[in-house]
Amino acid sequence: MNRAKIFYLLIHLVICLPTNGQSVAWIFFSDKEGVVFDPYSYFDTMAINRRKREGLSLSDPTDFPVRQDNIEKIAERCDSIKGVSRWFNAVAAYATPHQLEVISQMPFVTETQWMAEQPFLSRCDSSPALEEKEFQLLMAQTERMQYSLLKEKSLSGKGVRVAIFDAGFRGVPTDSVFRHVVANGQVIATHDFVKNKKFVFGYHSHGTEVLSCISGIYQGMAMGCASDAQLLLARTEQPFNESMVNEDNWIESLEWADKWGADIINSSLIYTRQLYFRKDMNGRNSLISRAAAMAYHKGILVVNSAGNDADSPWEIIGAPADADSVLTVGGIDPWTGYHSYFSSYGPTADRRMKPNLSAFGWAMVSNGNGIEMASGTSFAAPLVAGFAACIRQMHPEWPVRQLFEELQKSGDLYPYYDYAHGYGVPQAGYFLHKKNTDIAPTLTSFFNGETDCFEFEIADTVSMEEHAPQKEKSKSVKVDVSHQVFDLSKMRDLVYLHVAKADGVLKRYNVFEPGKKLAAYTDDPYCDDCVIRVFYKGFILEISGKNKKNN
Amino acid sequence: MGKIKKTISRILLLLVLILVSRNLSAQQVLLDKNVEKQDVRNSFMPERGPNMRHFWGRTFSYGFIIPLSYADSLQIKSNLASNSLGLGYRYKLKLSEFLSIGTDIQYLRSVWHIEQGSRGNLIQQGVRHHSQKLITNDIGAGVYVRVNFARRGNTLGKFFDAGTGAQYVFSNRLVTTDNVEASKNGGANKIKTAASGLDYVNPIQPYILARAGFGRFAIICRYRLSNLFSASENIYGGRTLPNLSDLTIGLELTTFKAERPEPEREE
Repeated sequence: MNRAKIFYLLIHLVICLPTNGQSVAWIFFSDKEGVVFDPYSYFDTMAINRRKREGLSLSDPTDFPVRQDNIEKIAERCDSIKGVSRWFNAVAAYATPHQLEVISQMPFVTETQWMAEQPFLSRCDSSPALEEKEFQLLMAQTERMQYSLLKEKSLSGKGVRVAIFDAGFRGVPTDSVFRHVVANGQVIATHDFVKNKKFVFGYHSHGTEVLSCISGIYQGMAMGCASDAQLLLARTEQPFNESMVNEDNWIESLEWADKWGADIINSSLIYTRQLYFRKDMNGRNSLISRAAAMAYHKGILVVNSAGNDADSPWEIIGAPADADSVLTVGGIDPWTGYHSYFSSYGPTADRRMKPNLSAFGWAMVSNGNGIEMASGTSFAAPLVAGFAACIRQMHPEWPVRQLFEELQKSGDLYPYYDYAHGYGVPQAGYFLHKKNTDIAPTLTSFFNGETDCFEFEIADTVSMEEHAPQKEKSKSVKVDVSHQVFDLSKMRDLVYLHVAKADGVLKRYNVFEPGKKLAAYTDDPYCDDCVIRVFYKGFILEISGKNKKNN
Repeated sequence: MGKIKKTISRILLLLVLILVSRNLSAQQVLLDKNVEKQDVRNSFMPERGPNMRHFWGRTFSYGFIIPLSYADSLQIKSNLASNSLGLGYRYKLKLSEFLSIGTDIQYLRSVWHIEQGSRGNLIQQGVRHHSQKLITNDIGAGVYVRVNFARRGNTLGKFFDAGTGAQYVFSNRLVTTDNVEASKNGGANKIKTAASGLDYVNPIQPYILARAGFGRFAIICRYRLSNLFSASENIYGGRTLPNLSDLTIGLELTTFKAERPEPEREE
């Protein structure tokens, strides 16, 4: 064969590799004129009920179908259509840069945008552990949210629809952990958005593990709070072939879940450095975050994991966890009682508080072939999603905004917050008998004029007299309690301290282990308009500037 | 003896006291985050990085020299034993989100396993060896244009490179192995001969290349534009030897140190 021909063929092959089927773009349209939409034939009854509850119109133009003639015109000018979004009045299409240039000139096209690729699945590690340790964890992963109180009130997510977006639900039909789910017909609908078919019970077990943290029951013990919830299972990701996966699956799944009447969506997927810069994490720059916000405005509570990047250069939460209306869940370490080393930190790039809540970042999960210990905020999110399903069952009348806010208020740190734990782990007790408003003070403070420091003492213990370092304008925290032995299923008695600016944005936050030691906070001088809050055993001591004020 | 015991006891007691006192005075700070330093708006956006203005990275490549059949070529064995190993350093200048240019410097070690055909091999006409390989070591530089295909964060993403450059062959060696009778060769049944400083190897080897990249990995396709050999009075009747295969296809790995986005981090 001619050398030039061979070389030409090889070069052609190399060029085709990255271009063939990988350049996907969103194409947004200007209008939906002339389309016909009947909400009663499109939506499931539960979706209609949800809209009525939220006071939303059943004829919201964002739910109208995309004009077929527009889709056809685009199809003629691109390689193929990959997906359609009613909410964004857009199509996702495979196209070359030249084709997209031509398309962008079409009169009904308002905007084109190359699509971000490569999702970042939260990590899932299994770890061999002692049987007793596993058993304790299994008991505590739900009880840490006061599951027994939910059980007493027969709250198990009954009548609530939870959609789960993940990489596959391998083994769910045959796994004994989901026997009740199968027997009761709780799986209402499934869809594989990667292959565009209904079968989702293969490919990967990450979704199975996540599902077990919502609805699983292992030998009579609840792995998640919502064992009776109705389920919508969507396969949106292809973890072993990340280069072929796009955000559009996730967005299409949102619309699918909306159509099927989802009340809550759990997504344990995070898009970070592969697609974005940290400055993009403001809830507006990524389409996926905007789509999540839109789902919220249609009455769906979106629960998303914070991500596992705390120990990586990325460090902060990713998309769509950066959206203000997404309930972002961080992970705590069950055995230390505070932030798991991997759980991504907040705040967002525009300095909004994230994560919103926390749950165990380690959990006993079922992979479709038995249970194992796994780590990652992938499992913290479904634990909270299951909890939220129970609260939705209890309060079906609440609009999603109220549900979101009440869930935040149920956090065991609330109203204290920081960017590692949010408002802490949600507590069922808050919803069943509200919080104890008569919390006894556990802290006292005084301003030491000699050292120019605030000093804090825990009231029920004997303080060790030790001066804070003599740094001008610095403040100190003095805590002193006896050594604690704590129960995994209860909040550990730790001291939380943050320094907030007048607008609520934190400057700094700490967690201290109380003990027979001085814990002195001696860093940079606090500004006079800053507020120092110290949380200990449910009591929050708040000091504004140099004026003491106990609440 | 008793005195030594007493001294040891005192030292042990002292050590215990030191350890206890250290524990008493230690702070138990479990988590300490300075949000000001973590603020992404204040954070330093590095100038260097895989999707920043400038990028530097090390490259490691391994390619198979493809045994192409040309009428006028010297054959290499068809078992993909002929290979090319490269180590290099790469610079990329980002011009826009989708277009970059760059340059490479690299060291290449290539080995051609030459087929011993019915006519023997052409380098030593009519002679058939058990095996024969030509090894070249060269350094070179090249330039390339890069087109990226998808939106991305600070990663290399998916790209296609088209480039050109030239290698300078600074050393070469022709190694032949022959099976011989041990009785006639001092007990040796194999004789290996190495000839180096071959004056018929062309010292300048221009090439063009195409690279399709997926993050740190790339499929590389390099095509030599010149004949590997040049004319020498000492061989092949003063004519230029038939060429050896000029196409290499392989994999390339780019390594680099990830830049931290913050100027400083909390402990």
